[in-house]
Amino acid sequence: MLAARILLVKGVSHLDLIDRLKNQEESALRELMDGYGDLLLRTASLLVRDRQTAEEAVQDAFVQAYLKIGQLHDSAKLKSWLIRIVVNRCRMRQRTWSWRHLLPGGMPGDLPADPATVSAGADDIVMAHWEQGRLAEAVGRLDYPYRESVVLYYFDELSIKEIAELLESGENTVKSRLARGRRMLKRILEKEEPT
Amino acid sequence: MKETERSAVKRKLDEELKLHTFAGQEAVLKRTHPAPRRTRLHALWNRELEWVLNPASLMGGTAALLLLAALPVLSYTLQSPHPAAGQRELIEVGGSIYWSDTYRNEVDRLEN
Repeated sequence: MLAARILLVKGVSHLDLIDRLKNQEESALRELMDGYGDLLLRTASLLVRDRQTAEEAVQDAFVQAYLKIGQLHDSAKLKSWLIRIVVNRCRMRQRTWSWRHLLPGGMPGDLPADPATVSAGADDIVMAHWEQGRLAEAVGRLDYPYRESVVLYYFDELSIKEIAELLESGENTVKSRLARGRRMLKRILEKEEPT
Repeated sequence: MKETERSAVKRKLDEELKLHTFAGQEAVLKRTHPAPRRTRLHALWNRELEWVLNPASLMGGTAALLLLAALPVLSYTLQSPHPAAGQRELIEVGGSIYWSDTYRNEVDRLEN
């Protein structure tokens, strides 16, 4: 079991695991959950801000992944494929209580002239504040589209390109949401700062 | 520099969320690998029952068992349309002997 976890974490080929999942082996599903369960639960917790809802979203995601493993064509993308399923489950659960939080933000018109430049500055500001606050709670207070990009970029460590593919949006949109998300995060953390 | 900040944020989030561990493995497996009906029935049949032996539960249990055993007799006695055996009367009709109440019931049934 530990070997499987190491295999998964290090991103070594998942071919064997995926083949066993396609053969509907229970032990393969257990290994998948051992390897990715915590990561997916923490991602979902950051996205939906409710432990129970996050747990249910991850359970749904594993069931769906098990049933649709045949749709995964590139074994190297197993992690981002699983995250995509969880993100979609979280979106579905968000819609049930507040569909307006899902209205897309960060339209192309909002793009800064050079997102990278602005992002770097915002990073410094965020870093100066997050040590004193509760970062996960602050992330949870971001508007949903910004929260999604921030979580996928910082917590799941996906690249801009991967996030854009996963969210089916442009890379510039993702950069814009990240930049605005960082600024919003900074404001939230500043408000929490003791005077 | 930026990458370092990114990993620092990741570390901070990991630290804050370290108590969030996925515990739904069995719930997922129940949905993906539901136990066959025969296994579920077998589990139900082999379920262990525990009975704590203290005076109150012993008396209660004994009373419940006695009531359960007496239920068919009580039910028959209360619902039976026939009078008790001591109160019944034998009559002779056409050379045959019948219980009078059974005979009356049968005649009533045939006439109606």
